[in-house]
Amino acid sequence: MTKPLPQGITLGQLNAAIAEIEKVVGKDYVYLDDVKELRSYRDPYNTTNDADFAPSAAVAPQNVEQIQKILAIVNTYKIPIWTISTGKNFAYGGPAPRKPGYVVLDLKLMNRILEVNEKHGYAIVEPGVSYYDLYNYIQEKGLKLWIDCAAPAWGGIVGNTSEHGAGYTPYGDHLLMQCGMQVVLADGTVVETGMDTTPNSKTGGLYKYGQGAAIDGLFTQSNFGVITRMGIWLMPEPPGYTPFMITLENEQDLETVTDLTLPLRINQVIHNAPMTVDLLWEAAMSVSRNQYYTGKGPMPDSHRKKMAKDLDLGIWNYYGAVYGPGPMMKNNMDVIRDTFGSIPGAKFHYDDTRKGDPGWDYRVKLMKGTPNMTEFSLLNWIGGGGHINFSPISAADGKSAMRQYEMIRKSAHDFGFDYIGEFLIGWRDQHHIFMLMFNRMSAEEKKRAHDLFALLVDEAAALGYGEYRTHLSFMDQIANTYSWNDNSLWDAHHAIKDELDPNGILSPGKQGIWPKNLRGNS
Amino acid sequence: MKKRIVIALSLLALTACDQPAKEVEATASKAPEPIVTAPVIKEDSGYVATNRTGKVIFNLHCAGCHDPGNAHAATKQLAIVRGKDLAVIRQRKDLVPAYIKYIVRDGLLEMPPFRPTDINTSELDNLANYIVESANAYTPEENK
Repeated sequence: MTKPLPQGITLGQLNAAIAEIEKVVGKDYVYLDDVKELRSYRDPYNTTNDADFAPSAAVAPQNVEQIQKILAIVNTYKIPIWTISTGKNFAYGGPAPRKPGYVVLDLKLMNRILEVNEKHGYAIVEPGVSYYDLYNYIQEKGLKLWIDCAAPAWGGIVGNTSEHGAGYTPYGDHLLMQCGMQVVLADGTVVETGMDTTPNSKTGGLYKYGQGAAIDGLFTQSNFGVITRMGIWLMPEPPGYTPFMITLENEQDLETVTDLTLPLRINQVIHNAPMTVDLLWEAAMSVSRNQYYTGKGPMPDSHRKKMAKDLDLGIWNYYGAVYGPGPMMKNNMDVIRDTFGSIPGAKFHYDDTRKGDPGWDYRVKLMKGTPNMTEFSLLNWIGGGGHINFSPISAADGKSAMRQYEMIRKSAHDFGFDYIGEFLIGWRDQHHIFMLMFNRMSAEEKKRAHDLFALLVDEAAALGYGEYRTHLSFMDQIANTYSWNDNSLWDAHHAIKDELDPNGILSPGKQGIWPKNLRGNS
Repeated sequence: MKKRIVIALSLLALTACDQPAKEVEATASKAPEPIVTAPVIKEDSGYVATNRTGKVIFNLHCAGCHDPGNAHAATKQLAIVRGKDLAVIRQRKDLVPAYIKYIVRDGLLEMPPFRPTDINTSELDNLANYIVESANAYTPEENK
């Protein structure tokens, strides 16, 4: 395979830079051989071609000093690097860079858990720490703390938080729970945010804002610096935990259940982010599509209904939980039962009847921050593994949810795909995740999925919806939908980018933010 | 912005191994000892590659999808496409180390590749040997 090169860079320049980087990190931590190692840096689930995101090399520094030296080298040669932490951002691009030829800056080896503070409930971790790592550490030490993990828990705290990821306990808004970070800027300057910037700081993990502009958010979903350390708040293990599930019989129940949820959620009667999960997502935890339907196109309603009956699932399946002392949980559960019990056909489910169902079991784990990988069962639905998430934000409002659902389902069906989705009610918003599944071994299916996704971005924008996160392929298209006042927000991003990273070396194109030398070429 | 602030990294690396990076005043229960999970940073650039056992690697990276039972995506899918006798990786006698190592680095259908920073070369050997040895030691229920 011909070595992919960054735009405007010759093989000689790349090789010269790599030779210098090898002196910094050691040859063992520079990965160049496509067959032996570099292929592991691709996104296997893309909708186009692996070559569109093929790096020229990957380098794995082990400390901040090495990162500084690498940045100095790539600044000299003007070679773009693409920063990853645990590299599991699958459905959004995994470890792969935005464009061919970038050098991946892989921070997985920086995986120290620097502190876990049980009394105040926080941890300070490096980018390579996965949810499994932090959970295992807390268990080994017997600390009475919970983590809040992404559904596939092989991801990590720094990566997921900086992607604005969400979890399932009351601490599920990860960026809200982030407190302090250390960042290396493109010129090698190391910056601490928040309280840790004061001498002999005692409160770095406790208070987010310090004095002056709170700039932590600038380094999330962006390319203004390399995050090398992050504080994250951890929930004290509560005295009790009651997860519940409500099965709902009708498609229209999405509207009712969403409207009933909002007051309970923002008043914290329901403590975590409740989820309204569609039938196919739930069913995919137990069965695959071929067991119920072998035809082409979306699964017909008659087959869906049989599957729902067999698996004791609803057309929608609503999950939530309450936490705390017994009497408090009882009071909250009484309100929840009264509220949702008013929906005709609504049926409550608990551990006593549901345990052993993989769909229930993994939600119970997620809502208490126990890492697992069960959600990867979604990839079994059609087999072949391809998946990409379309993730618009909806209001936590019944009509808004229905409008998004109907829009996506119709277009998905028009393109021959099943609607597989869930709504996660954060506070006043919903993350609506449409899991677009396709066979990654079929070029025709990949193209169809790609075209559907591009259409959905435009359809959502026309209805007033934007996406909270996206795959490499669609970062520019979605950036263009955040266009108010003649794209003034992206102009601001670009002004910051040009000031902080004049050579455009850090993750060019991340979320549609391009350095000036590459703007217009994307 | 123009001022270059280079923190004393080697000092940080050393102290971080035996005391919390930041102590909170008046913490009744002292923050626990920080853990060094995989790489061990000695002095300056003296980096020591890890050589975790196959079992440790399997539990960290593979078990989530490949352990027995209906909570594990790959086990369920293999049962459907290859049959239940070939569903559980650690019970399969048809796998050889070279094949395992290739699939780990390359991925296969639903499974993504694993990078050398997830599992380094020696650990990949350990992992492949662990899977094969586990399978060799496994006796199907009906033969017990």
